[in-house]
Amino acid sequence: MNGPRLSVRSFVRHGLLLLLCLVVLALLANRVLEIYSIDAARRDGLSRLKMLSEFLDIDPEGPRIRTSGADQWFGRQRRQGVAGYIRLLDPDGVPVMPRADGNLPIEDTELEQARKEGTGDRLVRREPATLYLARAIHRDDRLVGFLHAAMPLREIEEDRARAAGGITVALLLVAGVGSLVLFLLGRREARPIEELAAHTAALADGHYERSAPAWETAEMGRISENLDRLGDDLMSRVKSGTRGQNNLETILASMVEGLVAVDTKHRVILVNERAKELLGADLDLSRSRLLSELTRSAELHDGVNEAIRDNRNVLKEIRPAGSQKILAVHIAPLRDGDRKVQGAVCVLHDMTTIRRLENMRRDFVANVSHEIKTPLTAIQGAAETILDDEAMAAETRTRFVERILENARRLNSLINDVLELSRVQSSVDTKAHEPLDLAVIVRESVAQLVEPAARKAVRLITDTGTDRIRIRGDRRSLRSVIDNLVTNAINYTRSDGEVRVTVSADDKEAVLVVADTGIGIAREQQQRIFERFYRVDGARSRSQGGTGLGLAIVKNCVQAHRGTISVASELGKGSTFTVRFPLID
Amino acid sequence: MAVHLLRDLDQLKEHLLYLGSLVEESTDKSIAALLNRDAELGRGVIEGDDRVDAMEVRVEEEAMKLLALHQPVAADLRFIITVLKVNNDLERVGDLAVNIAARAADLADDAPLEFPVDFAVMSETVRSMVHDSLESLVRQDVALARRVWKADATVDRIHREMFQAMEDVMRHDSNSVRRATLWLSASRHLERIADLATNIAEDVIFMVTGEVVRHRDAI
Repeated sequence: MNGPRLSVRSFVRHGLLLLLCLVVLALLANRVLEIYSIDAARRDGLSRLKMLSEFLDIDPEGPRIRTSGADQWFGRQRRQGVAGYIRLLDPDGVPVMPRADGNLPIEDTELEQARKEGTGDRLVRREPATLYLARAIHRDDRLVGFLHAAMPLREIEEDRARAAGGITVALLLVAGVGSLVLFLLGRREARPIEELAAHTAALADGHYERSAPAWETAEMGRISENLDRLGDDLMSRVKSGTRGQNNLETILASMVEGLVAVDTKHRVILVNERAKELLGADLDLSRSRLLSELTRSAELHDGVNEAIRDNRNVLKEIRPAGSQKILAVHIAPLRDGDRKVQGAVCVLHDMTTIRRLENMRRDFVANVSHEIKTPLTAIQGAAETILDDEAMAAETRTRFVERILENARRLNSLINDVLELSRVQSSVDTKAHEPLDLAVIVRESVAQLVEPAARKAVRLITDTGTDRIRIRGDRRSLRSVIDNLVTNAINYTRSDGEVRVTVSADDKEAVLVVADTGIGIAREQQQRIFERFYRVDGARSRSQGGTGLGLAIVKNCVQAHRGTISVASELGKGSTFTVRFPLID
Repeated sequence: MAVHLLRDLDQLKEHLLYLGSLVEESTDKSIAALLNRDAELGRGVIEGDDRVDAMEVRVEEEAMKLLALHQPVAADLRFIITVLKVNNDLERVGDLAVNIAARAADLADDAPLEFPVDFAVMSETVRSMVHDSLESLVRQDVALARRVWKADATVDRIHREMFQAMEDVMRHDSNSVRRATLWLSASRHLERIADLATNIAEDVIFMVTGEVVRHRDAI
């Protein structure tokens, strides 16, 4: 928006032109007035002098007026003090009448002119402005004298000034009216341009739907039409562009995979929210960023380089710095129309859970195989010994067969536990759970374990109260929870020790506590005892017939019932397992 | 000219951060090797150091070239100077990670040594200091850089505890002298890594604010 407005500029230009015209006109008028008024006076004066010269009876021998009364007439004129005068001069220019003016000859230019041409005139503009006129008087072709008149021009000048004043006023009036007209015309001419400016501004602001103002002139009409077409075209383009962009953004944002596109210089072209989440990057991406600003991973960097350099797809597994995730990254080169590589696009999949599950499964299979192998080896060894030694004493043979039986039992219980664990893990379906009384299940379970406890001389004390403790659950799973906890407690408690099983209910939860006075669990091991096949003291628990799966089963069962389990223990003093289940409302 | 400078600066930053990612990974792995008694992982770190060294040389050459070609001033100059310093520091961190990995490989073959120091806390602090110092470089985040600066105190404290603990261990059991010495050396290297991460954080503060915060007791 620089420079003066169009209307102002037009006004100033035309105004100046008008002013120039008026000034010229005024000067011209003044000149014309002057010429006309003075010429009129000159002609008038000369014709009077002519009349006078013919009327006067002049003696051709000497400049002397014979007309009677002329003397008095000239004298009267002089006496009246009129500014102008008329004199009669002799051929030498010496005034004859009136006489009193002295005798010095008058040698003004008008006399010289009159001597040659018959008449002469001279204008003195100096104040008092005077027009001098002279006329030669001839009688019988002889110059007998001159009539010389001086006409004051004051009145004529005054008339002229009045007329000039009138003209000036008129011109000023014309100038005023003219300016006003010019101003209005300028505004009118500039209006379409201003409307055009406003309309194009609206277009630029994105108001494509507005139609251009209708203008009268043909040229502006065409502009208006063109602008409307332009607006429509822009509108449809922007709409389709925006729709495409929105679609793309929506699709990218809803992708489960992370997506990062970079150019050959590793500058990030595009990145979706999921990718930022996976890479743990919370950068402001309003300005251009480098891939290594997004995440520092040498693997990813190398992969992108490889994809760009070799123009082929690359698959990598990365662990982004500062994130615990494991990501599988498919990197594909970005090619343009000429199949030239312009960058690379990386698709990130979160492999963390899958990898962890794979690890768990691998560990589990390895553990189960190991656990199965030990008793199998024992069975195989014992059987081979019996076969090899035919002369074996019956006593020894019995011992070997007993060992086979014992290991077969261990195998059996191990497989039962594995099956149980698998059952528990797959029965997360809480809808199938029925309302139960936890106290009843505890009493049933404990009743079965009284005998093994007595054999180990461990006191088994149960406090199930008298109230019903109603929870929702699966009877068999809950039995295995209590069986496992109480069996463990009995196994890890020395003779004369005590195992106390308590069931109670608080506001919202059923609380099952199994406390023993056994060997206890070290603090650093307390977190790990619920892992499958974890043994606090491997050899010993195995010899006692444990499979290492008991607490894993318990934990899975409790979780399937939306309960929690915790352990408090001190080495040598005993352990307390506390299980909480939600009560039925 | 300006476009070229901008592009080269981006390239330089990309390469420095690549070096950063290599070093950060080495540090993480060497610490994991030490804590998990994983000799294999440790050897991987030692082999990876050649790449770190090559990258350090490359970054330095690029920075020199930029200085010579474009003669940058003000913020650009500060950036390149910072890159040169951080480059040096990162290479040193890489070397120290190699040392730790070597200690880890030595220790993995021997019986575990019990001592009452929160070594896991120390190594985690160092790990996150390295991470945060690079992160502050990326984000030009002075606040984060100052946090790195402050975390150094924790590492120094645990390193001193470590010294005391190893002295006790050696006094009580002469069989543990070798292992205790190795642990102490690893602790010392970790403490040095923390110092270098602090240096990087200081360089970041210099780059962003132009303020020199080295050799100060508090920032």
